[in-house]
Amino acid sequence: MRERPVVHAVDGVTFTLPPGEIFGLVGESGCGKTTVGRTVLRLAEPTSGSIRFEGKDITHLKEAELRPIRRQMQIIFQDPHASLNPAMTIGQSIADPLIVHELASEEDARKAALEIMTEVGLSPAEQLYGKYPADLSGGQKQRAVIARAVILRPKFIVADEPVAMLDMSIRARILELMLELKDKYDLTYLFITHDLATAKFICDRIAIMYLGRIVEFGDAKAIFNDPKHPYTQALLAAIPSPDPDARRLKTLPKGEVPDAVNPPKGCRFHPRCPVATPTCGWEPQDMLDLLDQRALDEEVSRRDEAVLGPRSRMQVEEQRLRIRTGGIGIPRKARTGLSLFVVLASFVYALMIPLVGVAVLMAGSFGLLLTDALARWESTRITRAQGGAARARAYLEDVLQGAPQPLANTVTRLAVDGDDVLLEFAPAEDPELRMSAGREVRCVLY
Amino acid sequence: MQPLLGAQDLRVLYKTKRGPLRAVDGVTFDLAPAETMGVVGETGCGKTSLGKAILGILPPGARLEGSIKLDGRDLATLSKDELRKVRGKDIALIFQDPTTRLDPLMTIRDHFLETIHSHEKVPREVALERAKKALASMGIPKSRIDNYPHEFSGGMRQRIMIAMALVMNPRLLVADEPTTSLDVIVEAQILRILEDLKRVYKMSLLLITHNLGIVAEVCDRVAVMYAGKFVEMGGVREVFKRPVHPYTRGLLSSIIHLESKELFSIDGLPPDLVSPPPACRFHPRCAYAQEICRTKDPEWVEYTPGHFASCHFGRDFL
Repeated sequence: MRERPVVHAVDGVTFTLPPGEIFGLVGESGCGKTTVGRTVLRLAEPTSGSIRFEGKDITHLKEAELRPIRRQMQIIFQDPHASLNPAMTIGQSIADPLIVHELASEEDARKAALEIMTEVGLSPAEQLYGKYPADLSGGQKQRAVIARAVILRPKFIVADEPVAMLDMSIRARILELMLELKDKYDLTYLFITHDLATAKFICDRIAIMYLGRIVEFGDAKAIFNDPKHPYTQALLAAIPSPDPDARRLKTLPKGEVPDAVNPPKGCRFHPRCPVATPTCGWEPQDMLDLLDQRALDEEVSRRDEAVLGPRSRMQVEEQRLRIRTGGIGIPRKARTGLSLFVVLASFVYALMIPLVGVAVLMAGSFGLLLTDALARWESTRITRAQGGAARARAYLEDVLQGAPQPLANTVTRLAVDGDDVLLEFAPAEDPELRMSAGREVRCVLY
Repeated sequence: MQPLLGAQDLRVLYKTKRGPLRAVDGVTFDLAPAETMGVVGETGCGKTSLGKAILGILPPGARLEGSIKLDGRDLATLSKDELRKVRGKDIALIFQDPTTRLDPLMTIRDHFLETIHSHEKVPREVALERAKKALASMGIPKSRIDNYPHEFSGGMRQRIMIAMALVMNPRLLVADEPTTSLDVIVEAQILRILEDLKRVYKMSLLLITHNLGIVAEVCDRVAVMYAGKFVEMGGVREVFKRPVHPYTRGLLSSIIHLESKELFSIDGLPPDLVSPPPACRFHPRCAYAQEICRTKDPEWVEYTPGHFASCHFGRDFL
């Protein structure tokens, strides 16, 4: 039976938030920042680890026990439109938490809602109370969502990309509102964003996340003034600058965030890192990726495949890549295609010639002929592949010459093993978060 | 030089219960071959309708007035069938959200074959060869041509969309918020691709976005749109360094970037396009508005060669 793949959406993330702080969780989509936000609110269940709120372990609290604590912890989502019930008026949506938590009568809830609406800039509140989300602009909707989060007087708010869907022209206003409310109600924010420029403005401390892990963590000013982790540097460099004179060729990381089911070994950023070293965790998968990259060129792709064979003949064994060059058979697809053809052909014969016996006979002989042809084809391919392993080894040596140096330098062994070629990589080093220049960095360079 | 695209007094009107909604209200501009022009503005300013008008994909019930000339041929007068031939072949488009534009039940191969065969009668093999080449130019291995859209990441899907747009070798690419749903790094990668298109394929690009930072990175010229009208247009350096219209100045200061010293946003909301404010449409939100702004339409004045704006007090801001 196949094991079900496991996604480590968040993999060993530790941080504490002192009261009154704005803590930024920054990273690209799929880095696990949203999962962290949901998990600390117990909206997602952690597989392991613990969550403490005001000293109390809430990791395993039952829903009923959680209820009073839920009041203290609220969340603001990215899409204000999706987080408001289209069938409820704005006022009803904002007053709803008070009623759900049985903290106020409907009349009092209405009063409280009107009050908070004025406070978040939804005025005239009386008039907007009866409006539906569809009647409001994006900015107004986000104000309503914020009002709904604040009406319970929480201590802690998770803000998940609160301005990402809004126009540039009103983002600042919403951020300012969040800052005002924080001062007024002594709020603590977990601010989740992919936009470092926004994080720079409002966060006290930030954690940069990549593929489920924190890669840099510390005082926001220190990180922005002097980013250490190559990923942080890349994120900063990628932000478009509004100065047309500042156009420059950026060194962008290669490719995109890899699959979290099978994250890269060692430093998870190493395959994309512009300054990677041989100790960053190179592995057979990187060699396969390199071959994929080469395959973009038609000519190179043809040569690679002629010598190394198809991808299905390559096998990853821990830190070893096994390339089987011997006994290259007919690809499975071709085989199924051929047998299908034989079956169809005998049907056609049977239809054309009423004597079914003749048809079967012809189909049989056709099949025989075909099997023969296949066998002959296969034998010539095997002959051609003889000595293929040695050739593949020499070829791979050349490929490695042209490969990125860190990858090539990590290959400890390139050898022929019977009909196979083995490519071995040095064991991957997995860097820990280490203190460097006043912040923690997960990178072999520090 | 003969412009590739020329829009003359373009208007797009939608029917609503309260009367006609003027999404685009008298827009005039040219686009030269291999030029990149950005159209920026807030949500609801009509920039997407402008893009749709150029592509001839306005929803039923919308009325188009004025002329859009591609190489001197007026697109506004073409029949649906003739337009379909132009679209995809001469003008291609890429959208904000590639996920919703790719059919989840079709492989990438099918998408390409459909696009190519709707414009040209070429053998399957030739079409496939072109598709693979286009994919490779966007960094996607040809081996993945049989995958379905969901098997790709957001950035890859957007690159597939671009590859599909490129496969017919169009002369004009209209990109409506092409990077808005993408992460910063992938966004930067896509922007670099768009720049390369201009350089390598000599393609013109009309980039519709709300993000001025993107415009500064890739565009030659920029038009600022407010309530259905262009309020400023000019070379990117000119407009960014010496903005004339208070709205442009507001948009520029509201960008949150790493060097921002303080947060700024424009007061108020964009107007209702069924009954926009009289005269200068920006006056209710403008800090400098005077009596004349409420009573008299500002003229479209050329301040320096190629740099236009419509503000009564434009000279004072220069």
